[in-house]
Formats: sequence, C-alpha cells, structure tokens
Amino acid sequence: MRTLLRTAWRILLEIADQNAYQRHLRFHGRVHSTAEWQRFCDKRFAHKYARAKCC
Amino acid sequence: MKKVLGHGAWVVVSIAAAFFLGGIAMDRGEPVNSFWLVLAAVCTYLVGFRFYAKFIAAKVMTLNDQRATPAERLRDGLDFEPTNKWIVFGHHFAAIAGPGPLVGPTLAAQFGYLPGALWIIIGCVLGGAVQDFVILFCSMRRDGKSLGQMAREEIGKIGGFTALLTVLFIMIILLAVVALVVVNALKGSPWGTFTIAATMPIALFMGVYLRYLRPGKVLECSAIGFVLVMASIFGGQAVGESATMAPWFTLSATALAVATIIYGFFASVLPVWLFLAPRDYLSTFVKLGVVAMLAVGIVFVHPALQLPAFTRFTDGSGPIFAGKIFPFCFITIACGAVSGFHALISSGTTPKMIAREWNAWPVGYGSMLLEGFVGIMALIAACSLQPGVFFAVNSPAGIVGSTPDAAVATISSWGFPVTAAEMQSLAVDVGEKNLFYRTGGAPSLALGMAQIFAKTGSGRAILGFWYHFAIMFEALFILTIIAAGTRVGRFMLQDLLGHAWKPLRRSNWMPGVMATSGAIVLAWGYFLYQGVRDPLGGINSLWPLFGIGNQLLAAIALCVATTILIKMHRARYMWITGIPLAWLVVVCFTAGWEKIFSDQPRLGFLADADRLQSALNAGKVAADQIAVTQGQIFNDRLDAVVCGVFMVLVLLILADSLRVWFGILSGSREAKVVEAPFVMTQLRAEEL
Repeated sequence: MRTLLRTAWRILLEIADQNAYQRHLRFHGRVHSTAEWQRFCDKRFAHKYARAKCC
Repeated sequence: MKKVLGHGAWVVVSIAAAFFLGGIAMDRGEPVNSFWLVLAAVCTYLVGFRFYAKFIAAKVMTLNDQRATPAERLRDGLDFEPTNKWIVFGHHFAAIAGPGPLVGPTLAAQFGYLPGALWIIIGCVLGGAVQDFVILFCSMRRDGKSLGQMAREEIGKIGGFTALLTVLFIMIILLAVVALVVVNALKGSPWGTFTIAATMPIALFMGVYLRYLRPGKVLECSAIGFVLVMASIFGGQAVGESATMAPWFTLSATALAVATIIYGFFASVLPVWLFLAPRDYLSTFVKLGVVAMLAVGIVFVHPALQLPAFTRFTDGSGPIFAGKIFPFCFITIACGAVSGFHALISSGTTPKMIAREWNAWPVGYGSMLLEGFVGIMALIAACSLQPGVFFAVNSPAGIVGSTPDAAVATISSWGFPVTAAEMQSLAVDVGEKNLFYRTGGAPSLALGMAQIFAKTGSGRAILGFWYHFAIMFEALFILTIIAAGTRVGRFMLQDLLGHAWKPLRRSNWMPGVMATSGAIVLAWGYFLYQGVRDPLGGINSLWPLFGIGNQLLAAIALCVATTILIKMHRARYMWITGIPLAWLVVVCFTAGWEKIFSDQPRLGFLADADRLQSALNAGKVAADQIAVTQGQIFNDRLDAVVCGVFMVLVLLILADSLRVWFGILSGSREAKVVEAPFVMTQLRAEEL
C-alpha cells in the first residue's frame, strides 16, 4: 500500500513538472531560485505546448 | 508449481473474459448489471495485455532491455530522462485521456450498450492499444521522433507533408466539436457558466502564484486552484438562484460560441506560464481524480444498464447522429477504442522518458487499455440513465420537436417513455431550467455521473452539485484543450506559412503570432458557429467529421508502423498493424462516402444542400430565412469538401505506403531501417 501511494505521489510530481525541475537542477548543478524556476518553465513549456494535446 | 499456478490463473481469467463477454452479448430482456460489463472489459484487457501485447513485444518488436533508450543516450535533464515505468505510465495516460473517451461512447449509446461496449473492448485490444504501442516503439528506436518525421523518413516526403496537413485539419475540426460540446452544456445555464467563467481568473491567479509567489510549488498551487474551483461551483449555485445575477450568466449558444472563440484567441497569445500551464496542471489533476472517483463509484454502485443492448436506431435513423451502426458506431467512438491522436503522444514526450525498452509494454499498450476502461465507464454512466431521459437530453429540437410536449411525445413513440414533468423535476434537481436539446453528450454524461455519485451515499439532495461538478470537470479540460490546440495549430500554421515568408516562423514576432492565432481561431470558430446554428444540433455533422478525421490519422500511424515492420524484416507479422489499418480504411472511407454522397439529407452533406437548394428555388423558404438557408447550403458543401480532403490526404499516404511495401517485398527497393544504432545500456536498476 505504501509503495502504491508513493508511486501515485511520484506520478503527481511528474505531471506537475516538479520532478523534471529537480532533474534540471541536478543536471545543471544549480540551486532553486525564482529566476531558475522561470528559466526552467520557459524552456519546458516551449517544448510541452508546441505539441498537440490529445482528444 | 508456481508456473503451473500462474498458467491456471490465466486460464481462469481467459474463461472469465469469454463468459462475461458472452453474458453481455447474449443477455436480452432484463436490464444487465453494469458490473458484467466492467468484468468483461477487465478480463479481456488482462488477457490482451498478457498474451497479445507480450507476443508483439517479444516476437515482433523484439524489445531488448540491454539496448540503451534515447532517454539514456540523449539524457538532457529536461525532455530526455530515464524514468520509472509507472511514472511514465501515469504521465502517458494523463496525456492521452481527453474528452473523446467520455463523449464518444455517450453519443454511441444511441445504438444501445452492446455495439459500443464490444467496439471499445475488442477495438482497444486489437487496434488502439497496438497502434499506441507500436508507434511508441518506433519512436523510441528513432530517438523520440514525431509521427510526421517518421512518415517523412520511412514512407517519403509526400507522406510527411500529408501527415502534417492532416493533423492541422483534424485539429481544427476537433477544436470546433469539443467547443460545441461545452457550448451545448452551458447554454442557458447560469450555474455552469459562472463556474467555468470563474476558472479563468483562478488560472491567472495560479499563474502569478507559481511564477512569482511560490515558484516551483505546482502541487500546492493546484490544490489551491482546486479549492477555488470547488468554491466557484457553490458560487455558481448562488448566482443561478439570484434574480439579479442569473441573467448576466444566462447566455445563448451563439453568445457562448463567441465567448469561446475570444477565449481561444487570448489563451493562445497570452504567455503560457500565465494562463495555459496552470490551467493544464489543474485540469489534469481534476481529470485523473474524477476518473478514479467514477471507477470507485461504478464498482460501488454497479448500476443496471437501462438502455437495451440494441436500440431501433441501429438502422441509421438515430436522433443524435444519422447513420447505421456500420460504420458510424466505429467512428463515433474513436478515443477509447482507436485514436489517431494517441500516435502524436506516443511519438512525443513519452518515448523520451522510457528507461528500458520493455517498459513500452505497460506504458504504450497498458495506458490505452486504461483509456478503454474510461470509455466503458462513460458508456455505463450514459446507459444507466432512463432511456427516455437520455434521448430527451441528447436529441436536437429539429428531430424531436421544439416544445417539451412535442419532444416527449416523439421520444415516447420510439418506445422510450418519458414525460415533461419528469424532465422538469430532473432539471430542478440538478439546478437547471431545462434539460431538453442539450446535444453533445456532456450533459447526459454529467447526469449519469451525478446519479452514480449521488448513490454512493450523498443522496439526491446534492445531485445538482454533482451534476455541475461533472460539467465543470468536462468543460475545464475541454477548454484547456482548446487553448493548447489553438496554440499548436498556430505553430503549425507559422511553420507552413514560414516557407513563404520567413518572419512568420518567429514565435516572438507578435504581428505574426496574432495573425496566425486569429486564423486558427477563425477556422475552428467558423465550424463551431456553424454547429451552433445547425437546426440538427451540430453534433450530427461535426462529430462524424471529427471521428473520420481521427480514425484516418490512426490509419496514417498504422501505415507508418506497417512500413517499419516490413523494413525490419517482420513482414510475416504485418497483419498485426495491417488488419486494424484495413478495418479503419474500410470504416472511414465508407463513413466518409456516406457523409458526402448519401441521398438521405440527414446523412449526406450534398443531399442536404440539394434539399435546401430545391426549397430555395421553389420559393418555399420564408424571406427572413433565405440568408440562413444559403448559409446552411454553403456549410453542407464545405463539410463535404473537408471530408473529401481528409479522404484524399489519407489515400495519398496509403498509396505512397503501398508503393514502398511492394517495392521492399518484391525486392526492387532496399529495406533500409533508419533506427538509432545499438548501444549497450549503462543504467543500473537503482537509478530508476
């Protein structure tokens, strides 16, 4: 049950792009800040919303 | 011993699948309990997943966990990232599940519960899930390339360009039809309109909150957004009951259509972080939550299916949309059974997140099965309504009569008794003035869901809350699709027109952005307006057009998949994608031909145009209706042209694919596989 809940929580974090943000910080060796989050979002959203959403 | 037990368990599941499928197919007379349908679907999906999908994975695609995926080789910490398979599963499912599997099965319930149920179960296992899985595999082996790129590289330049054009046209029709669903759900409903209007400032607030106040706290921000949206449902109730406020939010279908068009334009040009992204987060979480709630509700309540297995409308005389069970059941339910749009997702973000090749099995195939299950739940929600109520809500005035008394008389004469008093009582229960002529599927689905939720213990007293909660859920994510789709359409148009004039390609050149956004909005807005003004409710013409387009996109994806299988020297397995492809081509071309050339005016676009033209020529049209009739004639002919264009585009790709297949199979053409070279994985299990 705990594994199930933990997986569900991780799925929510992934959909919320919070996992992706943590990966971004780790990958580039940066720390969280407002400017960094904004930079990440601009890059992420440019890719994410250039693709069709499903019907 | 363990192995024997395992085999035994699968034998039991297989027998159960056959038993439950047989049960729902053979049972007549007494209402069938929806639990049979749930069990038939679950057991069939399990068997399909365990045996058919595993066979495709092992024998046809020869998935190899030793082979590094693009997520590992091209890891960039942003798009390409090896991710736990269940997280990718959830992410992929959230991306493919839209309004299609909810609305399509609801509309197709006019044929009865059985045709839609069998198509969702069988079509999903043999067609839709196969398409999603194979395209995901193909993209994964090609560094996450898109469907268009693969069509260009594997089939040819014509295939690539045609795929791009097809997607653009289908998207325009998709946006129009889903907008029409929302408009029909909100017309004359101050409660619903207020609730949905309130989601706009809520999204803007969330955008500012996330950008400046609490950067990175998406879940926290979405939770606040959800609380505000729930508050807006209660606010909507107060507005609906207020003599002063209610008229402000009681809008006609035309006014709502104009408002939706304006919304689409601004949502497309506003910065993504300010409006679209926060709205997308919120609608995705609400969508997943409601789907889970519906699953629990159906298992808990397991309502009886009130609609019969087959209705009299299998003969093509249905009030919701015209056309016989074949081919129209199979294009009405696209998402949930086979959906071409999924190929865009399977060749989008997902292949860039797959850590091990075998993870594509649950992600590609399994997610589609889950979407099929969503379709089954929507069908159950619709079929658990009293049939007379179902048809009263979904039938347009042009078919059943423009007064409640005329409508109930017509519907009762079909063998589905309902009274005006019953409809009025139900409308009062859900906080609406009127539930007649609410075509589009969303209101009847919301009614079905509300009744299921109300039976879980909350009681009929808050039926209105559940109804508007369901309407909010549907409208919230449909409007998000409209915002995102308009934006994507803009990018595609910028890309196409950028060949002629380079500045148009720049996404930061505001005149270009405004002009292309305006063009896309006007394109789908025109079809929306046409649907709103249509005396037959719009769904009769637009939903089949969307269904044909979506299934033809699936045909394109299956052409690409079959081409790749042949190039991989798996021609003996080409039936895996070839059979669904052949089925879709037959279904779509039959449906397309009938929509254009049928001599029945309710079905054929050209026949309807001729009927109206004859009436005009004979002077039978009132003076104040001449312009409207001329508009209808133009729209009929335009719809016929759009349908014809879809068919021609797909014929081009099919012909191009056949040329490549015959070339390879006859030995006159080299079977050149263009997948990324093999690289041994370095990923350790603990990294996932």
